[in-house]
Amino acid sequence: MAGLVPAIHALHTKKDVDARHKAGHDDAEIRSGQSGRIAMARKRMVLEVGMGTDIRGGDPTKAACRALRDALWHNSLSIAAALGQSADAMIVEVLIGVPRPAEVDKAEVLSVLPHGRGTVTVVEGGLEIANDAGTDSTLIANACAVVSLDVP
Amino acid sequence: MPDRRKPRVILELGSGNDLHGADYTKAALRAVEDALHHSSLTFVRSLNVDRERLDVEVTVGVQRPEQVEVDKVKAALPVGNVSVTAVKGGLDIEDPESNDRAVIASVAIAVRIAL
Repeated sequence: MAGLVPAIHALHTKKDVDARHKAGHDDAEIRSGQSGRIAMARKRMVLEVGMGTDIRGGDPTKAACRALRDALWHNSLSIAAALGQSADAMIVEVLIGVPRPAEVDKAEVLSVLPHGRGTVTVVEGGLEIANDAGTDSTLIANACAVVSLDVP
Repeated sequence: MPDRRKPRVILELGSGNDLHGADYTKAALRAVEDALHHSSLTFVRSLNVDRERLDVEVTVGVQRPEQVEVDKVKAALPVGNVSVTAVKGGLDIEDPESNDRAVIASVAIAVRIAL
């Protein structure tokens, strides 16, 4: 059973990090019959889309985390189980569009994911609108969680 | 330069998408619907405001703003003096394996009125 603490040490790289304690990729291969392996390929299963904001603080990490939460809580996914795999077999690429993408703490965004292995990519996007006085701004972040599984 | 705009009373936020057609205008229209329907401007009735005096500034963020048909977006706003600006923003998600693209629009609607 995967730990509840996600693989937050993925930090600022796009490297896959396995959230499970075991290093073994027990879902990655199936041995057929007497010999040989069935080739597995990573295929996209679902895109989940969400929006998050920071109304006054101008914090793109806050908006991005809220956007990812919004993407996740609109859907209950059972595709992994339907394919005979565990929830932690899911490979989740998180894409975030937000102003000032370099300021986003990707580890914090990654920690929103409850299951599976995750990566985070942040690009310039979303929207930013200043207030009339020019003293703060409202940020919108758009998030997409691309959920994939290794399938035969 | 003095700000001659009427004071902003609300900034309504929304997002919308087109999952397969890469139609930025469709995504923008859905984002406008989303933004409009997360609030109700009850002050218009309670303060007996003339709706024609409302200035409505719509900003649409998409990755390819030149593709947004701003006239169609303008027509989606039911009330007020409407202006629409499309800027770079939102998010595109490419699927190279399926030659597919999902496009997301972010929208902010600023409503201005001197009360």
